[in-house]
Amino acid sequence: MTSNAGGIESIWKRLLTTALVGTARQQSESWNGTDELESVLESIRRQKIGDREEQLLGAAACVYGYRRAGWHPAKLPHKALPPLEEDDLPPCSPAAEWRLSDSFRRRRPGLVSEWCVLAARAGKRAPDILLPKLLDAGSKNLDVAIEILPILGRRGLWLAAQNPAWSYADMADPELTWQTGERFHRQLLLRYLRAKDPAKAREFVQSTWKDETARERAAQLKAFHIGLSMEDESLLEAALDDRAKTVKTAAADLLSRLASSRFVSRMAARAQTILALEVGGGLRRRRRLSLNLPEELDDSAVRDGIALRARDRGKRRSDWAAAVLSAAPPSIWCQQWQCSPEMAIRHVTGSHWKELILDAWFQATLQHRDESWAIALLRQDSDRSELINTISRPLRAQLVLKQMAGKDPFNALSWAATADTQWDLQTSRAIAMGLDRLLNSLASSRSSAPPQFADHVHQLKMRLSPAVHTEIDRVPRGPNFGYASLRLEMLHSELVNILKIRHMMWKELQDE
Amino acid sequence: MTTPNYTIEQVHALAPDERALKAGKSQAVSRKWSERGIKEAAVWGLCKGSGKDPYQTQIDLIGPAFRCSCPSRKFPCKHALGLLLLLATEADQFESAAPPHWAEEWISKRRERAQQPETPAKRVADPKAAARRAAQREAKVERGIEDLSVWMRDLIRQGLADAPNLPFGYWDKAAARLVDSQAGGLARMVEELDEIVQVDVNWQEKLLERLAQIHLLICGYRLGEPNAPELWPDLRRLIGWADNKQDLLAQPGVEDRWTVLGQGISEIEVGDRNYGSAMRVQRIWLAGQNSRKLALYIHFAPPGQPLDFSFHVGNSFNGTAVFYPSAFPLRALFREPRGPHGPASHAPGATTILAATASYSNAVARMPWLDRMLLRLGGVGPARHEDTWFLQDEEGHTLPLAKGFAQGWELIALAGGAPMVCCGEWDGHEFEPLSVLSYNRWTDITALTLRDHQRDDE
Repeated sequence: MTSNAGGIESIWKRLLTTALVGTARQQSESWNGTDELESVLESIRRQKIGDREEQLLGAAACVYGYRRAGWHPAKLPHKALPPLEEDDLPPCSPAAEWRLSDSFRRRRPGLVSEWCVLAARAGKRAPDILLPKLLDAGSKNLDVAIEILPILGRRGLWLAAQNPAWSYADMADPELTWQTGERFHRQLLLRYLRAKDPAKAREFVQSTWKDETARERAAQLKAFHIGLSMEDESLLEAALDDRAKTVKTAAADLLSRLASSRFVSRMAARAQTILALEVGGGLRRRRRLSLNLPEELDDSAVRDGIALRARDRGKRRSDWAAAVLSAAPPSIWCQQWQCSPEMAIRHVTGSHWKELILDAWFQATLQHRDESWAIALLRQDSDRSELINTISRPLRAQLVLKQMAGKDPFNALSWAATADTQWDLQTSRAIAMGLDRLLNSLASSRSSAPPQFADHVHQLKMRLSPAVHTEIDRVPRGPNFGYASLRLEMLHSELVNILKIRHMMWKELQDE
Repeated sequence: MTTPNYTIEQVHALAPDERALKAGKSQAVSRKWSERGIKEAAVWGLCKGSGKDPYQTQIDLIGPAFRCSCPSRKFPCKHALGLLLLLATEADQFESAAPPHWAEEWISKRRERAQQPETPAKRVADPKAAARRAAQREAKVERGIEDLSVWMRDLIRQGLADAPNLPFGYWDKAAARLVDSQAGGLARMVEELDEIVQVDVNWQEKLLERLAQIHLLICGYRLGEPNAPELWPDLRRLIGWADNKQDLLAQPGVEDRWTVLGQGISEIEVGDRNYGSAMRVQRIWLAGQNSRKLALYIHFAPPGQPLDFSFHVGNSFNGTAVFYPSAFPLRALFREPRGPHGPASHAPGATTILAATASYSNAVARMPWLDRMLLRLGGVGPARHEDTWFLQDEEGHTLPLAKGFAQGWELIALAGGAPMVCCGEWDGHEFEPLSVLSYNRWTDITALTLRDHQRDDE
């Protein structure tokens, strides 16, 4: 077979050439083959079976069959992959496997992400067949990568080692990765380590700090949000002297979250020179706030990045003031003026600088995660829903529930949607019931929802405890069957649908 | 008796269209059902609808078959889909009891019918007229073949190089003439030529190969039955004569325990080229545990009709396969009822790449028009060289994977570096993996890609 393989290929080529050119333009054919094939082709020609065209087709049929039946698989040196040790984590149920693959198919990264978290909590490994999809998803996004690491299991790690694009999953040798790994791999390692051993991570960063590019230094500081503590202060304080503005701002941002840092006390001192409470004249001796705008920035203020903070807004003195106020812990005002946050806010309401000061306090509260200030500011302006995340869980649930029952349920909904964690079952149920009422009242009235309403409902899909889908399965139908009511219906069905899917997913991935 | 379990995705595939599926999902809520029960393969339920009385919904999991008292014209209706979805997700909520009287009748009739032998073919009313019609058709086909032969010789005389520039409808017209001559099989082969010329990178070679195949078919048919007795049934079928299923099922079959080794799905255009939609052809490959015989069951799903999900890859059942007569018998029908499905621990007849391709050579030598055949490969592993994927066995032989096959890494993930069993379709050029048996677990690769291609229905 192999001896005349070259022969048969050349016969086939000649047949093909003749067929392409056409027998009308080709005078004589010579399809001489070897061995038994030749005798067959010879007999086709000699017996003159049909005309020249038929002879060609007949010969082609013979040679084609001959080639096809004689096909022989190529042999290559056998390269076996390193064998995989036995899987260490138990597999998930077929239903859970189907759920994950369905979430991929419907392109719902939120569901994929929740699946990974739940599977990790139950100590299950990802389904073998979906490992490539998960590893691909993780190769583009640090958050996803962090989520998939615990469910890869031995098989996933083994698989990742076979594909250079997935090498990021290897956390076995942190020293080596830190020294020689690719950018994404190192960033992932840093986040991974910060969660487990922040000191070790800091040591790594310090060890190579001088050799990194500015872009890299700024990116590395981002990971310090994980496991941030006073132990990081000296590194961050040093980073304030960095030449790169991105690094300086990142360091200042982190330092302002450390209540007892030198940076914060410097800011507090500066803030106190800017804002003063004056006791006014008159019988009621009303107290008023005054804002003393800084004349210019001293070196230390420049070092602390105040000019940089203010830069986005302009270079006016008022912006410097805002930058200082937003970095100082709001609690200092309560101490200094011996009053509650509510009272401090009331002092500012008459001021010319009301907006500037409240905005700065809002920023400061977010950064310092001051609960009592957050509550006070929310009361003052319920649209600042981000504040909800600085409030401890039981308290924030209470707030949302109270607001839901109060005069502005839409606001309650925006708070509930902005929360960075999932609501517990009880709160979720109350939110769901409130939402149900809202949807139905919207459907039956002419009033329209606030513009962000749809966004908030979408956000709630992943924030509510999924068991509450039963509380909202009343389809909002009103007398007007216009576009608005159709939109409400779609919004509603999408929400209930996702909650139902999550409900099943929770059941499928329950910790046994 | 174990009953077939339907997974959610299989229920999805049973839905006649996306809307029906959505409606079905809305019925898959426990509180809509006042009664739900299951006994062996019979499932029933009472569903509250808009009417006074609840709808009586019934499913026979063997088949599957559906019945519902609702007025819907969709088949299966949303109630049946909903009930099946509930069964797939919360089977424990189904009461295991004797079916109520309204459910009893239908299911027992179905069982009786299944027990009975297939109803004998309708008696031919007038044997003489039938014979005359048969003779007329043969004459028509004869003329069609003459035409085709002249047409092909013209093509070769002018040369194939010009094929892509031939006027629009050139191939279609030739195919249409063959349809008129009642040679549907040949017509389809000619239609495929058009596709090769339009789509294939290597069209020159492929076109000559196909023309040669058609020529060989014509030559064979001209020899007549006495000169080509073995190939005669193949030749007739390839030209366009259909086999009578009833007659076929009356023939003796091969009794064995059959393992479902894989399924391949392809689409063929039906109807008008512009407005037509695709008919899905489902090829289910099985192997007998004792006979080691390979069998191919083909299911045609016209647009809007579901695929056949009664064969589960990696399961086996006791049954009788009746093979279509052929020089290399492969295509088969299965006598109903088939025995219950149970998991299979191995793939009967798995061999090395060399032995498997040799069996393909043998098949092609006996039936030259065979296009694809299932290869059962044991002890293989996926490997990659630059951008080409292939399978390699422990002897070092390789088989290239199909260019469109995108699950190379999935194969590696399943294999985990250990030799695995892989079944797939081989057409002499490319291997398309259909299933994998690794670490004692079967994976239906086709079902996986089916999932990826399904449209988002929300």
